[in-house]
Order: sequence, then C-alpha cells, then structure tokens
Amino acid sequence: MTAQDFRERSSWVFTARVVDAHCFASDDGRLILTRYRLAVDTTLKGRHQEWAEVVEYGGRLGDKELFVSHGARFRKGAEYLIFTHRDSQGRLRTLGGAEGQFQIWRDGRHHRMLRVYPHHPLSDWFQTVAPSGLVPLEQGMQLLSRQLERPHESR
Amino acid sequence: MKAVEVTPACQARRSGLLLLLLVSLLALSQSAYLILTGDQREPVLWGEASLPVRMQVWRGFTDQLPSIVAGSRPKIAFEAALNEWVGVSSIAVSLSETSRSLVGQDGVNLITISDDPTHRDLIGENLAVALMWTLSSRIIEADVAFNPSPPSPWSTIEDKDDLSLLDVAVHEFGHTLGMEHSVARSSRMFFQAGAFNFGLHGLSYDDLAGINLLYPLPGLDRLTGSIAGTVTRDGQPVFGAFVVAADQTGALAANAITQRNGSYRIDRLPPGLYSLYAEPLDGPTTPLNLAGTLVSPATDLVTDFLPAFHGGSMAPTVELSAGALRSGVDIAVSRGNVSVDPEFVGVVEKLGSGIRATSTPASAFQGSSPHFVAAGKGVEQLPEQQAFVLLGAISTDGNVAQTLSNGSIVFKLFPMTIADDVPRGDYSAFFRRGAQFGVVTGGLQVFSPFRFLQAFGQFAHMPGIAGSSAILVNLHPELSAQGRVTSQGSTPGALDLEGLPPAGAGGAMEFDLLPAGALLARSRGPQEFRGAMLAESTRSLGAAVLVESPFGTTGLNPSPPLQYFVAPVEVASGGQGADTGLALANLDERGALVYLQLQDSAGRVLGEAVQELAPRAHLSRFVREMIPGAVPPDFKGSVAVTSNRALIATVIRTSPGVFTTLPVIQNRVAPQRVFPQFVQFGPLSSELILVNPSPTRPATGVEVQVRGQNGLPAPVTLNGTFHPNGRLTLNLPPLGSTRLLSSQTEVIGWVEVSSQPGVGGVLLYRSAEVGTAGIGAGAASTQQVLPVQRIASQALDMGIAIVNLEPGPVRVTLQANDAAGTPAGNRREVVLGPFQQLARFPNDGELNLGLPDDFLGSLWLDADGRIGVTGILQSPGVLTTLPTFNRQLPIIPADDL
Repeated sequence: MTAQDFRERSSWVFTARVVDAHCFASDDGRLILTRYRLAVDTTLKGRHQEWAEVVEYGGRLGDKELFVSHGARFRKGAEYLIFTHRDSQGRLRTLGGAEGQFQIWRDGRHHRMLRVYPHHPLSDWFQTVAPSGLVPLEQGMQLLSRQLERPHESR
Repeated sequence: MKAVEVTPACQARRSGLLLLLLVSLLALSQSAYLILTGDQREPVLWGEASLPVRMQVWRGFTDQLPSIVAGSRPKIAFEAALNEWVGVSSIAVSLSETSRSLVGQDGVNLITISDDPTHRDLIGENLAVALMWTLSSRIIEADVAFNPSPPSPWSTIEDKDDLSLLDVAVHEFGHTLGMEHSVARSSRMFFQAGAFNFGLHGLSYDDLAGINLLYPLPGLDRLTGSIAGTVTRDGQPVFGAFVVAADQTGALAANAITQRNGSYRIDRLPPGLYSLYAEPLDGPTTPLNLAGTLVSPATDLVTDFLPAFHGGSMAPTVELSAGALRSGVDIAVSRGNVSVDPEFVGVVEKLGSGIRATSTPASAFQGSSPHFVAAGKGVEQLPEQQAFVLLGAISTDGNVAQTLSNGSIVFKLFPMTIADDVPRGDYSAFFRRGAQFGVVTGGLQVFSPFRFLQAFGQFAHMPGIAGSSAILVNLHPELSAQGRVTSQGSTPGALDLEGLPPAGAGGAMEFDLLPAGALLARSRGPQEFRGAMLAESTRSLGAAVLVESPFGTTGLNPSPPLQYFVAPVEVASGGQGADTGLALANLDERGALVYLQLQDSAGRVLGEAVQELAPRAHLSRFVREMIPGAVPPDFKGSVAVTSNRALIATVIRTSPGVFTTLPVIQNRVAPQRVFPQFVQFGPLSSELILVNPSPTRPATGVEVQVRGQNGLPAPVTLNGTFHPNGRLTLNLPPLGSTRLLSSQTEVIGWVEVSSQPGVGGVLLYRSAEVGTAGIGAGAASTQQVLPVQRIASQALDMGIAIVNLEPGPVRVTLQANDAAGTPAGNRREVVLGPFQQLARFPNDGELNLGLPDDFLGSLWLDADGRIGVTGILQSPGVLTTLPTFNRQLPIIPADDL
C-alpha cells in the first residue's frame, strides 16, 4: 500500500473505540471471522455514522483459532484511527490490513496520541511533527484531513 | 509485504521518480523469538497427530493461468520452497495435488491461486496470505492463498519485473510451519522479504534458529549455545526491544524481542564471540507486523530509546561455548528517539553509475569494493566524516563519498571493501551522528560473486595411483557462463587441472563456458591432493566428477550445501571387509561443529560424537574412526549428521578391490524416488538401500516397485524372497534403514520408491567383473541434461537409461551439444510407453544419436511428461554412473544478474 492508495481507496476514515468483538463462522463453516463493533468518534473521510462494524478474517471459536496473515486485529476497549473500504461482499474492512490501523495511545499526561511508525507509508504525512512516532491526536487529524482533502466531521 | 524503491533525481528522469512495488506478505501471532506463540507464550507448532504435514497444491495452479508467466513451474517451486525448511529441520512434510481450490478448514492443507471472491476479499492488497487453524497451540491445518491478480505476474523464470513464486512461497510456508516475522531485513521471514530474488537468498541464520526451536535437528543443541539478558532504561525493564547478536565477523546470527520484564534469550547460536545490541521496534517491522499476543496490540511497548550495545562497545566481547547458556548479557539503553534511521539502502559498484535504494537489503559480493547507499530519515544530517560503521570483517573509512538528492530524499554513499574471506551472510549498517547511532539491521547481504555452486566432497590426485576429472556443463542454452574451480583439502592450492588455466589468487582456476558448452578438467602434476572440489558459476551449472583409482572409477553426484543429512553405513569384519567413510568439507569461512549419530537399521542410537571442522577445511574418515567404539565389527545402519555451518558431503564405500562413492540422503518432500537402472542379470546385481531421514517420524507404507524395460511390474527376488509383482511395502522407523539385495530372478529395468513423506535411498549396481557403481535417486522432471564422454581409444562409452514416469506415453527429444555448445549428431525423438525404460549407448538402437567416437559434451532431454535419467559410464574394467542435471531448478536466469 502506498500513501496514494490510502488516499484514493479508502471510503471511510475515522477514529473509534472498540466496544465489542464477536467471532463467527462463515456461511460454509470453513472460516472464522471477527466482527468488531466500534463507537465512532470522528470521521475524517466519508459519511459520519455513530457506529461502525468492521469485519476481519481470523478469530477464535471455542478452542479453535484461525490466524490470518497480515490481517488487522483490534483489542476491545482500545482506540484506533482506521482506514476502511468495502469488500466485494459489502463488508467494511480495514484497508491494507494491519497497515490501515493506527492505535491511539494516552501519554503520561493522558493526552491522546497517534502512533505513527517511521517506515509506515503515511509517515511522511506526519514527518514534521512526529520525530518520535507519536503525534498529538488533534494535530494528526488536521494533517490527515488536509491530506485527504476534506474537513473532518465529528459527532 | 511492501518493497519500496527510490532513485536520486539524476536517474529519476530516466526511470521515474518513485517506483512503488506493492508486495505484501503476512503477519501472525506474536513471539519474542520469531516463532508463533499462544496465549501462555508456548510455541505454536504442528501437533504429532497432524504429522507429516500434507501440503496439497490445487491442480489448476499452472502456467495456464493469466497471472502466471508461461513456462513457469509452480509445483516445482513449491517443492523447492518447502525443502528450504524441511532440509534444515526435523519437520516432515509431503506435497501432492488436489482438486480442491478454495481455502477453508476441510482437512486439506491447500496451496491455491483460485480466483474467487472470498480469496480476493481475504488477500486484499497482499501478494499471498497464510491461514492456520490451531487447537491448544497446535496447528491442525494450514492453507496458503496466492493473489490471483497480483501487481506483477507470478513466475519461476527469473525476470526482474515478475514476482518470484519461489521466494514468496518460502516466506508463506515458513508461517505455515509456525514461524513469525523476523525484524531483520535479511531474513526470509522479514515481512517485506524480497519477492523478486528468484532463489538468490537462502534461509538466514535467524530463520534456521527459529525453525530449529520448533522442529530441532538431532544434536544441534550440542553445536550451539544461548545468550540471555535484560534490556533496561533508567533501571526499568524495556518491553519489546529488538536484540540482535552479531558474531566476530560482523555477520548476524539470530535475534529476539524482549518480554514484558525486559528479558530476552537468543538460542541456536554457533559458539564464538558476539556483540549484542538493542534497538527499538519502530520500523520497518513494528508490532503491527507481529500481530499476536505479546507485542501487538500491546500499548506499553517501549520504543523511545536509542540503540545501544552490550557493554557500550561494538566489539565482540561475549564469548559463547557450544551447549552453554551465557546469561547476564544485559543492555542499558537511554531515553530518546533516534535521529538517523534510513528507510532505504542499496549498493552501487562504481560512483557515477546507476543508484537505487530499496526497503529490502542491499546486496554486495565477496571480493568487491562497492559503495553503500543510504537514504531516508536523518541521512541528510549525517557528518561527512566517520558516519558509517560496519562491524567486523567488512572495512570502511566511514566517510561520505558522494551525496545526491531527488528533491525530497537525500542519498549518501559510503565506501566499503569486502574481502574474499568475508563470510557470506547478513550484516547490519550503522550510522553515527554525534554520540548516537542509528542502525539498519540486516541491511547488507554478502554473496559469492558466483551464484551457482556444484560441489563434490571427494576429489583426489595421487601421481601414478589415482586421479580425478570433472565435466562442467553450462545449463543455459543462450548465455555464456563465467566461473571458477577451487579446492579445499590436504594441500591448499595443490590442485592443478589440465583443461583450466593455472590457479590464480586463492587457488581459483577460472573458466568460461559457451551457451550449452562443456569442458573437461583433469587432475595432473606431481603434487598429491585429497579434498573437495567446488565449481561455481554465474549461470546454472551441471557438473560431474570421476575419481579413478586402482580399485576402479567412481562417478560422484554433486552435494548441495547441507546442514543435515543421513548416510548409509556398512562395516564388515571391523573394516577388513566392507567399510564406510564420510568426506566432509566446511563451505563456511567460519569453523563448523559437526554432530554425528550412529543408529542401526531399526533406528536405535548406538553412539554419537562431535567433530570440529576448521574454516574451509576438508575431512575424510571412516565412520568407525569418527565415532570411536560405537560401530560393531559387522554393522548395517546409518549415520545422521547435523552441522552448525553448511557442509558438502560424500559417502565413501570400500571393500577389498572396490572403491565407490554414494550421495548422502536429505530430508525432502519429494514423494517419489526413481532409480532408472535396476539389473539382476548374469554377473550384474543390484542392492537398494533405503533410509528414513526423519529423526522423528516413521515412514509407513513405503512402496518399492520394480518394473521391467517394458514398463510392466517385474518379478524380482529381494533378500531371498520372491515378489511376483515386483512390489513390496515396508515401514521404516525414524532414521531406520533397510537393504534389498537382488538375486536369482532375472530383471532388467528400473525401480521406483514412493512414500509420504519421502524416504531417501541409493542403489548399488554391482558387477562381479567391473566393480560397483552407486546411484542416487534421480529427479523426476521434464527437462534434463546429461554429461557425455566417449573415448574410442579406451573403449569408453556412456550408456543412457531413460524412464517414463507417466502412466501414458511420453515423447522425448534428445539433442547432444559438443563442448562449444554446438548441436552434434542427430536430433532424435523417441516415444516411451507407460513406465517404459530405454537403456542404450548413444549410437545404438532407437537412440542412434550419431555422436563421434571421441566426444565431450552433453545430452539435452526435453519430454512432454516426467522422465528419470541416468548415465552409465562403461569401459573395460570401469562401471560407474553419472548424475543428470535438472534444468527446472535452479531456475535459469533470463538475463544478466
């Protein structure tokens, strides 16, 4: 994935907190998927909605677990900035797998920070403010909005 | 996986400013040691009940698909990719085909590229994904799905614009066996591992260490040690630090990630001196690429610290012994964010020539003086003097030789000198700015300038007594090859070969081969030599060696680089009758430790020993001398050999008046072994020796089928028992072996051995009049090349045995090429019925190749089905076999490297 891919192929970019993760079997029972329910905070691109359901391959049903490479995985209770798109079955998916998710941390003073790793395709967008890889969330959102060429919309 | 390439502005005008290559692989559960771990940090690996791992390729995965370059051979690439892991560990894997095409838990471990909506959704922008179903930390099923619409076509024919199926498969199969991503760029498990290398890179030592934690080779724990310690910052543990061990040559060994209490442990390190450093896990690999339970999605991972060495010194100070745990190797880091962290690296041979830098490792050759290119974060701020540092054997003054820019990215070039004896391997590049430094771990890979190797464990010259000769064939039909022959043995530099120019620096004798050309090199001179012979080339090379002694002439199969193999052993009357020796050569520039384990035919261990082998040294001894006191006076069994460095090996078998060499047996996925010649007729008899190379898994249901020349099952008597259908089924315990000696019932034909996973074997082809020949199992393939030698004055000729391995007819085209690569004699086409064998001298019967009476060259066979081929060299008093070369692997480059 390139920065251009993230810009052009994302349909909905938002920050959200994971409130639930539910694993389920595919219709034919041969795959395990996880449906993440997220409370959306801020939308940077796309139509704002209060809730999002992101589906990813992989998960655990009983004692059985399916690992899928390069897939995005979310932790219940954690906050993320997520680039999403719709797959062929109309499901909301994380764009670029793990590369399309950015965790939001709280620093020692409880400021919300966006973790951007230096080699990430989007790191250039934050380069001027993130030598440490941690970007104050509000500032990061403004930079992202500028790159995505659309003002962000909050609930 | 994502590989990114950048070029400075001066080139950008020609080649485009920024070329982005989308290449994605995968991430799985996390690990502190590059293997997958479960909730309780236990390794995730295949459970006993699921072994052997039966991988199955979708039958439609062929070069007929639009996303695959025509002429590619996916299944052969998958077999080679699996063998990379199987050959260096104790995991048992088989490979077959299936009609299933869709991933999902269904009891089939599928390899597919089927264009299906589910696959597209699953794969997304990745090149391939692996899926693993686990139960209680045991893998119970695994599938691999390749992208049916990749950004570049898939191929097994080297081309810089295509994606290498082999390379991506090696990475994916690593995951399916339980390997996590490695943080080192040089590892095959690096999440951006090169998908355009076409087999150039083997497994790194880091990969070897990881797979051997999961599926250990016998004795490897006695040949390696462990280093453990803690990483702290301000006295507090650092969670998620990446700790790297480099040996005294600067070459990377293995890595680990610290746990929540700051501790780390690196296993499977060869003994020696090490330097250790810690760096933050802040890219290119991040916790997002290690998507498991320890470091991702952990929120308390510490990444704001500066890279630091144990003891504050880059010099190797940590001494490690074999079998030891060296603990307390702590590393103190300081708070901060590194200001120099180049994302892109490269190598340029000459200043002023084309420059490119990528997110994958830079490659350089032994014996070269190129420049290292760095671009990206902080490079523009590096000082002009002493900014670049390499550990150990590669020298640099560290000064900037040139600075370039493409507007947004600054490139700096630093000189390097890589001597001939710098070990091939992976190195880290360090960048110093004031008191702090940045590091690109595994950013430089050092290779031999000659990519293709054919090595022989035994090569001897004893004036007036014994001599050796080698036939080398360029397997590229259109491009010339340059190469060199070197030796390792009793008297360094003593080997003198007629047919090659005198040895130059380092004892290397250089050669050029025309396309499809051949040459003969024969030992000469007054100096005695016993050792190993290595032929290296810029092109795929075929080579065969003949050793002539008063006890007859024996043909040698080349040995691939080995870290594990099994050899059949026979001793009679304490060595006065039959005896068995091993000829070993250490291919590495560093010393090797070799573990030998003797077991009887039931696999019961009778003894073990560890041998040291100096850098580039050769050792040739009887097994009873290598494992003193363990070998009974009359014994039939095998010896399993594990090494902590790459070896080449040949089995030497002697009996009064007989000297024969045999190939060693490797752990392999190939289910079918073919011996194209099996005879019980008059003075000729055959002995088939089968060995289960797995140290852990029994081989059950091994089927031996003897067929006549007409392809039909042939009645045969083996070990005194008559088998009317030429078939017997047997079981072999782990490391067990058996010998099947023909007698009585006349047979002229061939034999195949089928098992899942594959057992190995050799065939001893005996003549009461002219000695014994040892034949290794032949490759089943459609394109083979056989060296051919005919000398009228010595009545020496080369018999050719061709076997059709298909249940239907196969058309075989034969064309001989002379030493200049020019077609010679008649181009012939023969059709073999189902399972038929054709064994003829070149100018006889159906073959009628019309070759001159004196001829040196090669015979190229192209078939529309799988065939097995062997050469049988015969003259009065001489009977030996010569190997054929499979043109399907290694994959032949389409243009210059």
